[in-house]
Amino acid sequence: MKYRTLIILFLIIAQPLCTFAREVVWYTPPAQVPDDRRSVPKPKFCAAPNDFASGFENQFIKQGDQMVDLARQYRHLVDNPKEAYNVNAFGEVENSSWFTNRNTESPMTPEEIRKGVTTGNGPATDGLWTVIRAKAEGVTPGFAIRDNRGDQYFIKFDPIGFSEQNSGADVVSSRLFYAAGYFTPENYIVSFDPDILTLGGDVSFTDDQGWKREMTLADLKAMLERVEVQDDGTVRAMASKYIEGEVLGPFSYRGIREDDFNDFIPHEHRRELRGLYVFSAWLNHIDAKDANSMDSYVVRGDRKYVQHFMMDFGTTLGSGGRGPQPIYRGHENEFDPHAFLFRILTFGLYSPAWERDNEVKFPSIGRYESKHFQPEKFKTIFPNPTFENMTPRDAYWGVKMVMSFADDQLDAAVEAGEYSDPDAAEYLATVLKKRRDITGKYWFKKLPPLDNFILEHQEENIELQFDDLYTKAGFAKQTDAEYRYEIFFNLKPTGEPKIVKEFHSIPIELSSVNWDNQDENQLCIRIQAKHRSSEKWSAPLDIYVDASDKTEEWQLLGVERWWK
Amino acid sequence: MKQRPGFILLQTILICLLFSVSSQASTPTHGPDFTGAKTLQDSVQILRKHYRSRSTAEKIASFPGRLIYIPLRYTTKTLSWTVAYVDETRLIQRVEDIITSEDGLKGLEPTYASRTGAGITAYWKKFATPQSEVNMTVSAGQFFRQRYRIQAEDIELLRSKLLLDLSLNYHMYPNERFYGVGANSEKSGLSLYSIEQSKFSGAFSFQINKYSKLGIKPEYEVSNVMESPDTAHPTMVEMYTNIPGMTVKSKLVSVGFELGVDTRDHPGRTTSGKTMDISYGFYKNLGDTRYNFQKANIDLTHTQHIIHRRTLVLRIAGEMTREYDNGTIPFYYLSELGSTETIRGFERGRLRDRDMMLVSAEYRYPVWRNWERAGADFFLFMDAGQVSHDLYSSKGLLENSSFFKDFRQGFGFGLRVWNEDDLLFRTMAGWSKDGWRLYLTLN
Repeated sequence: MKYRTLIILFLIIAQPLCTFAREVVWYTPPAQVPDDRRSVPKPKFCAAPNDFASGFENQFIKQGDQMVDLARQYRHLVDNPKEAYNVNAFGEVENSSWFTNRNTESPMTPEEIRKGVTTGNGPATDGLWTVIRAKAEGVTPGFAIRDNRGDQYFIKFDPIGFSEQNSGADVVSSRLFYAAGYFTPENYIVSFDPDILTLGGDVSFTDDQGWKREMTLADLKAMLERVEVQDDGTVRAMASKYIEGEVLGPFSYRGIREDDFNDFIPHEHRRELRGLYVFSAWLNHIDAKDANSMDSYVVRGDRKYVQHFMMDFGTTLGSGGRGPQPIYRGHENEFDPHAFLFRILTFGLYSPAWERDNEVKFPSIGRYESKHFQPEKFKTIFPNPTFENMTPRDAYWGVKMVMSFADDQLDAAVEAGEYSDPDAAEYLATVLKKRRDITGKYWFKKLPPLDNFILEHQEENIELQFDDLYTKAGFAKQTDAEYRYEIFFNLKPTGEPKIVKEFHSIPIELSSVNWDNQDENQLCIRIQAKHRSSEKWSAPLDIYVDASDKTEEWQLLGVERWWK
Repeated sequence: MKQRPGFILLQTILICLLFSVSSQASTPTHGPDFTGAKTLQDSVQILRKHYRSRSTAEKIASFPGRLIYIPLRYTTKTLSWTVAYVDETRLIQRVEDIITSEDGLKGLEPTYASRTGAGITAYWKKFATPQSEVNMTVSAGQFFRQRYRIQAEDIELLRSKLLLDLSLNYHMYPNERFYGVGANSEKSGLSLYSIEQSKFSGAFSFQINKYSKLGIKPEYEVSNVMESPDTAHPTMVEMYTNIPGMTVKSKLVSVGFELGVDTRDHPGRTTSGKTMDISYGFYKNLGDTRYNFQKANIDLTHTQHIIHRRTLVLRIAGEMTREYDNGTIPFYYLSELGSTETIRGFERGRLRDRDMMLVSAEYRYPVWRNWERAGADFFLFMDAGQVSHDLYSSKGLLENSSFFKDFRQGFGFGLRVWNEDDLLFRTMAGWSKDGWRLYLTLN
C-alpha cells in the first residue's frame, strides 16, 4: 500500500518535469476557426454592467472562482496554461468580427495612422448642435449631440486645469488601437463655440443627487461651467461618432453572448483579447473593462453580424479622467489584496520606486512615464479575467503588435492628439517609443523572437528562412546573433545540434534525411537563439514541416513556441 | 497503515483527471466537426459544444474546490447585487440629498464609538456666524447605554476674536466597569456601576493665532451613580467600600482653563505637526465640601514624517488630581488609563488613581491610497502608563520607587481610513496583560 502512495506522489511530482521536457511531438495543426462574420439574427440589447458591481465581481468573486479552480491551479503549477482557441498553426489570429490584422500584416503609412478609422472631420461646427443626451455625474461632464448633418456624436471634455489631457489621450489611443487591428469609433478633436449648443426636447438627465428628470438650459449652462474654455472662447473636446449599426451594449471579457450565433469562442480564450494585455500595458489602458467596449449589429454587404468595438480611451496614457493618472495606477488594482497584505506585513519598509516618483511633466499629458514601466507587472483598475488567462504565447502575439509600430507611425498617432505644446507632444511620443522598446525587450527574452518563416527550395537543399525580431528592432546587432538548431525527422534526430551565426536561414540537407517508408513524414526544426555570447540560449521554437512527399515541395505545418 | 478501497479509487480518479487536464492544455483545442450541420444555426450550436470554456475533466477536477466556495460565492454575489442596486438607484446620493440641505449646511451623519454605541448626528453649519455649527447627537448601545448631546460650536464674537461654545450633554451608562483604585488593581476586581450625568457648559475661547486657542470653560453637572442592572458581574457596592462618589448623587460646578495648540498639516491624515492641550479645572460641590478638587492635564502629540508618508506619532500626557478644602475626589473623576485614548489593550477605566502618566508611540504606514484624497494606513502602537496616588510628588518621578514597577503596557496594531479632514474609520487590536481587546470607531 505504501508503494501505491509513493507511485501516486511520484506521478504528481513527475508531471511538471514531463511538461518542462517539451518533447518534439507529431504535430497536428489546429483546425481552422470558422469565420464569425456570417449573417446571424440580431441579438438582444444588453445594458452595460454596473461599474461598481462589475469591479467587485472581478476583484472578489472571479478571483475566488479562480482560486478554487483546481484544474486551473494545477495548470499554473506545471506551467502549462490553457492556450487560446482562435489561433492558426502559426499562433496568429485570423481576421474576424473582433480583429483585423492591419499594421502587423502590412505597415500602415503615417498618414493612415493619423487618420485612423475617421471618415471626415468630425461634427460640423458651422451649425447648431442639439443636445440629445447628457451625463452630469462625475467631474467631467459629457453629452451627446446631433449636428446639422444629422450625425450623432458623444462629446467629452477635459478636466479643468488639464486641458487636452483626456481628449488627446482618447484620440491618440484610438488611432493606435485601430492600427493594431481592433475596431474603434471615429474619434475627433473638436473646438467649438458653446453658443452653438441647443437643448433638444425630452432630454433625460440624472443630476448630481441622483434624481432623474428632464434637462433644462440651466443644467446645460451649469455643465459648461465645469469645462475649460480656451483663450479664443471656444471649448476643446473629444467628439466620438456614434458607432455604426445597432448597438447591443458592451461585450463581456468572459463567456459568450448567448444569442449571437457567431460568438462561439469564450472571450477569455480569444487571443486578441488576451494579447490585449500587452498592448494595454504599453498604452497604460488601465480601464480595460466590459463597460468600455461595445457590440454593434452591422451590415456588411449582404451580411449582418455583430462587430465588437473597443471604446472610451479617456483613461489611457497619462490621463486619469479627472486629472493625471493617480500614481498607483498601472501598478496596483484599485483594491489590491496582494499589495495591501504585502504592505501590512512589510511594516512600511517596502516602498516601490514608482511610489516615490510623483512627477507630472506636462498637464496635457498627465502621468505617463517609462522609467518605472514593467510590462509584465501592469495592472488594470480591476482584474480583467481575460488578461489573467494570458499565456506567454498570447503575450508574444501582443508584443508583435506593439513592436509593429515604427517611430514615424507613433509620431503620426501623437499628431492626431493635436497637442498645442510641441514639447508635450514630443514627450508623449518619446515615452510611447521607450515603453514599446521595454515591452519588446522583455517579451522577446521570454520567448524566442524568430518569426515569418519561409521554406526556400533549392536544388539539393531546402533552406528555412526567418526574421529575428530582436535584431530587427535594433535591440542587438545581427553580427552578434547565433542560432542553434536541431532537425528531427519523424521525431528522430537527424544529427547533432548545429549553430549558425548572423544569417537568418537554416540549411536542411536532404541527404541527411533518413526516409521512412511512411505515407506521412514530418520534419521538425528546433531552433534556439541568443543575441550576445554571454547570454543563455533562448527557449526552443519548433517549426514543423510536412515532408510527406520527397518530390513535391514541402509545406510549413506550424510553429510551437516555448517560453522560459 | 491500511487504506480504504474508496480512498484509493478517489486518488486514482483525481490523478487521471489531473493528467487529463494537463494533457489537454498543451495542444490547442481542435476545431469542431461540422458533420450533420444542415443550417448555420445547427453548425453554430455544434461549435458551442466544442469551444467550451472548460472541459468536462476540468469541471470534475475543480468540483471539490467549487463546492467549498459555493457559500462564499453567493455571499459575495449578493453583496455585488447590493452594490449594483445601491449604485444604480443612487440610493446614497438620494438619502444624502434627503438628509442634507440643498446647500449642504444641514444634514445627518452616522456615528459609532465603542463606549457610546451607534448614533446619529444632526448638524447645521454656519447657523449663526460663518464658522459656527450647531449639532445634536443621539447614540445608543448595549444595555440601554444612551447619550444625547446638543452643542453650538465656534460662535464668533467680537469680530471673530472670541469664540463661544455651548454644550448640553446627557448620558446614561448602565454597566460601567470599576476595578478598584491604584496601580495594583487586578482584573479579578471587576465590578459594575451605573452612571447618569447631565452637563451644561459654556466655553469662551480666544484665537491667539492660526494654531493656538486659549479658553475658559465654566461647567455645571449633575452626576448620579447607581447600582448596575447588569448581573453578569458583582456590583461596585458588593465589591468595594468607602469609594468616594459611590451610589451618590452630586452637583458640581467647575471652571476650566484651556490652552490648545494645533499645528498639524491635515487633521485626517497628519504627516507632520504637533498638538498641545493644557488644561486646569477647579471643581466645587454645590451645597457642601464633599467633592472639592482640582485637576490639571497636559497632553502633547508630535507627528514626525519619516519617509514616503510613513509617520511616527509620539505622545506624552500627564494628569494630576488633588483635593482641596477637605474635599475628596469622586472615583469617576480620578485620572484613568485604559481604552482607545490611553492604553489600548486595557478596558476603559481599568486603572484609576489621583495621578496618571502616559507615553505612547504609534508608527503609521500607508497600505492603500487609491482613493482621491483618501486612503488607509496601518499602524503599530505601544502605549505605556501608570496611575499613582502621588506620582508627581516633590521627590520627583525617578525617585518614586514604584514608578517603573507599576508601569502598564499595551501593544497592538490597527487600520485607519481617512480623508484630508477627518478620520473616517479606525479599527485596532490591543494586547495587554489583561489580554486582547478590539476597538472600532466610525466618524
